[in-house]
This record gives sequence, C-alpha cells and structure tokens, in this order.
Amino acid sequence: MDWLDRLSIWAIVILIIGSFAVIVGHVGEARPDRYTRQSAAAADNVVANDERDSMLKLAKNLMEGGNLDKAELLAGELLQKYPYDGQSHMVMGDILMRKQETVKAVFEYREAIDINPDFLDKKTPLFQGKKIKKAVSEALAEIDNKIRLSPDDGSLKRERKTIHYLQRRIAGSCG
Amino acid sequence: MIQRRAQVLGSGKGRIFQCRALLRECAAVMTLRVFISSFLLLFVLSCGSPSAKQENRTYKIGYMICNSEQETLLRFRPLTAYLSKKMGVPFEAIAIDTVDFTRQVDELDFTHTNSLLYVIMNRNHGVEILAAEESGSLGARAKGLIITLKNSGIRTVKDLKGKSMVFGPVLGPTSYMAQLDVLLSNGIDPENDLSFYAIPPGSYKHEKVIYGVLFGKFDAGAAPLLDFERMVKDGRIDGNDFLVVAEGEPIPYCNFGVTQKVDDSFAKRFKQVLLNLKKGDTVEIDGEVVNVLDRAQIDGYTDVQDKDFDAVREMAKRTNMPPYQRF
Repeated sequence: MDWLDRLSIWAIVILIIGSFAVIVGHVGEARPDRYTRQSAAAADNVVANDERDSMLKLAKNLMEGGNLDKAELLAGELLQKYPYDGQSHMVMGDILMRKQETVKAVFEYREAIDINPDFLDKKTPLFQGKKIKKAVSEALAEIDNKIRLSPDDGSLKRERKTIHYLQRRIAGSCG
Repeated sequence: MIQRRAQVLGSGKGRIFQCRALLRECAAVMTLRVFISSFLLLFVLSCGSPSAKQENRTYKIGYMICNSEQETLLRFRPLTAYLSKKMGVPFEAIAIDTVDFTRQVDELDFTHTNSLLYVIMNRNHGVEILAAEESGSLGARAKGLIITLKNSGIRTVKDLKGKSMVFGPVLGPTSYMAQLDVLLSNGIDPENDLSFYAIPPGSYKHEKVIYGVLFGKFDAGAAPLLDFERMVKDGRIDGNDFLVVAEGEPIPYCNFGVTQKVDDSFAKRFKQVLLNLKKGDTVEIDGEVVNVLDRAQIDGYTDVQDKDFDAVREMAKRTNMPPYQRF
C-alpha cells in the first residue's frame, strides 16, 4: 500500500465520519412548527402559489362542509391547472373517499405520492401515511369483493395491482 | 479469498510485488466493506423517528365540546395540566365544536372525542385510538336510549309512529345515531313517520332533550344513558317518571386519539400516562389543587382497540352517517 492508497483510505474515512455526523445531527429536524418553511422547500417543488393555496383551502373547506360536488369540481380545476401538484391529487383523493369512491381515491393518492413521496415520510409535515393506509385497506377489500363477483374481469385485476403497489410503497415508507 | 491467495504465493523476486498487490487488494476490500457498512448505517438512521429528539413546542389537545365550551375546559384543563406535568412538555386544551372538529383536526396533536368522531377522523384523517374513558354504569361503553313519559301511552318503538320526538346533537353516537338506527330497524323513518322532530339549539342539548320529554314538549326523546343516569343521580329528574322504550347497542364511550403527525413513541407515553391515572391523582391549576378524574367527571381510562369501534362503523353505514354517508 503506497502513500496514495493510505491518503485515499483516510479521505474516505474522514468523509464517512463527517457525513455521519452531519446526518445524525439533522435527524428529526422535520417538525410540524416548521411547516411553512418545509412546505416551501419540499412540497411539490413548486414556487409558493397564492392562487393554488387559496383554491386548495376552499376545496378542503367545501369538502369538510359536505359540499362534495362543488369541492370535486374545484379540485378538478386545480388538477387541470397544476397537474404536477401532489397536494391537488391528495385533496381529490380525500373528496373521493368522502364520496365512497374508495378505489378512485386510492388512485389519486397514488398520483400524489408518485409526485411527492413526502406524503409517506413521517419526518416531513406532509405525512399522510396512516390515512392512506386506511384507504388502501378499504380499497383492497372492495376490489377483492368485486373480483369475487366477476373473477374474469381483467380491469379489476389491474386496479388491484395498482392498490397492491401502493400498499408496498406504504410498507416501505418511513413512518 | 485473500488468505487462500496468500497461501499459493510463490517464492523469489516476484514475491515482493505479489505481496504489494495483495496488500492493495486487501485495503480496497476493507475500504469497500467500511463504505458499504457506513452507507447501510446511514440509510437506516435516515429513516429514524423524528422524535428521537424531544420536540420543544406546545402540543395541542382538541376536546370535543360536550355540553358547552366553558364546561369542557373546566373539566379537562386539569387533565391537560396533569399530562404536561407527567410528560414534561406543555399541552394546550382547545375546546372544539363537534361539527368543526374535522376542519381543525390536522392542526391538533391529540383528540378527545366521542366514538363517531373518532371513526370519522380515523378514516378521513388517519387518527389512531389511544384510550377509552370510563364513566357510569357501562364503564368504557355508552348506550343511547329512547325515552318517553310513563303516562304517554307509548310502549314500543312502533308506537312512535305519528308522534313527536327530540334528538340530541347529530354527531352524537348515543344521542342521535343509535336511536336513528333503532327507529330505522323498526321500520320508522323519522323524515316520514314522525309527526315532527327537533334538535334543541345551544348548549346542554342532552339535558334539554330529557327536560323536553319531562315537560311534555315532545312525546319521546333520544338521550345517552350516561346523561340520564347523572340527572337521576343528581336528583334533577325522577327515573320513575320515564319509560325506556328502546336501547341502542353498547358502543365505546369518549376516547383519546392521536393524529398521524405525532411520533408513535410519544403517543405511547401519552397513552401510558392516561392508563396509569388513578382516582387520587391531583394537579395544581390556577392556584388550586384539583382531583383530575373527579373534575373530568370520569372514572379512569382503559385500553381500547380500533376494532372495538366496528359496531359504530356498522351503525354509521346503516344510518347513512359520516364517514360512510352517501349523498
């Protein structure tokens, strides 16, 4: 082992120790009271958009007030305007859950998670994992029932595959 | 592998070069091992719980308003102070109207609600159950009654056809949903088969229902067993004046839940503090030493599982109530 090998080994060791110290020092820094700042950085990687935020807020208010059709229309508008916004898909999923369209809701949740995996990461304030897990288990039960009634329906099996995919994502997530 | 190769090294001039090459290989393998091990370690640590550190903030507990905001805070501020003392972090008690709870739940850390609100928040907001409250003759369970006056001539649920009825708050599982379930299962649709029905406005709705029946304003009323028992115990009504026409099935009583943003180990500690709460436990609040359970009007907390709420879920489906409501 010549001097260059030794130098390389030391450099790697120092780098590993340094990285370790930095990462350990930052574990658990995602706190709910940092929501605004972290949302800006992590939420969907989009510049803060007042219009989108107010539309999202209105859609959520309509949904919680039981105005599901109006909320769905608004969420549909949001999705047309911001197709790469995870929050919009998440709200659409929430509305569909309240409309008892569980399988469709799970597909929206899947879109949301594919766009922004932070929805499944408990270290971020965007975490929605437990809600989604519940929706997935309901959707699976529903689709299994439908498959039992129509065992040859290929579209149902494809839907189940998507739900299973989401189940695997949740099982492998942090939280 | 390296050891095996060392055994087959020959002798002579080339041996020094072979040794050097072997050492280099050895160092490379070691470096690779260290690198892979460190990578795996960091990978695991990066997935660690956010509460590995104690969060230095005030935790919010949302208490469902049962009778009035003042009554709710009077009952539960001592319990909140006790939790702060035991957990070593500040908690804040927030009284929330039942109909506003789902709008505010995402801002909360812990919830204290009835069983129907828990079922709604469990499905729509990922809230998980921690502990159930014990109070009254059924302990951690509650039951809805349909009551009439003994002299009303009403003896069975079917006799309610064409009569007037007063219900408690709509999101009350034992003041509305359980009774609606009983009526529907007996073929009585309140929208079509009662002469009229009403829900009293303002605070203390359960008491208003019982007084509404007692003073003859309505033929029958939907009241929780616990409130009926309390009013009898306090001497405010005479139980002998009333006839219980029907009872709903027993379902879990009020409970504590945790929202999905709170760390699991912290929630577990919270639950343990509740389960360990005893009759004599006190806390100092507003310059006064208060018995925590007495002030909260409960007997204690007990462990409860999510599946214990399946009866509430089935009832909500049968009565077209949230979270399974179809429009």
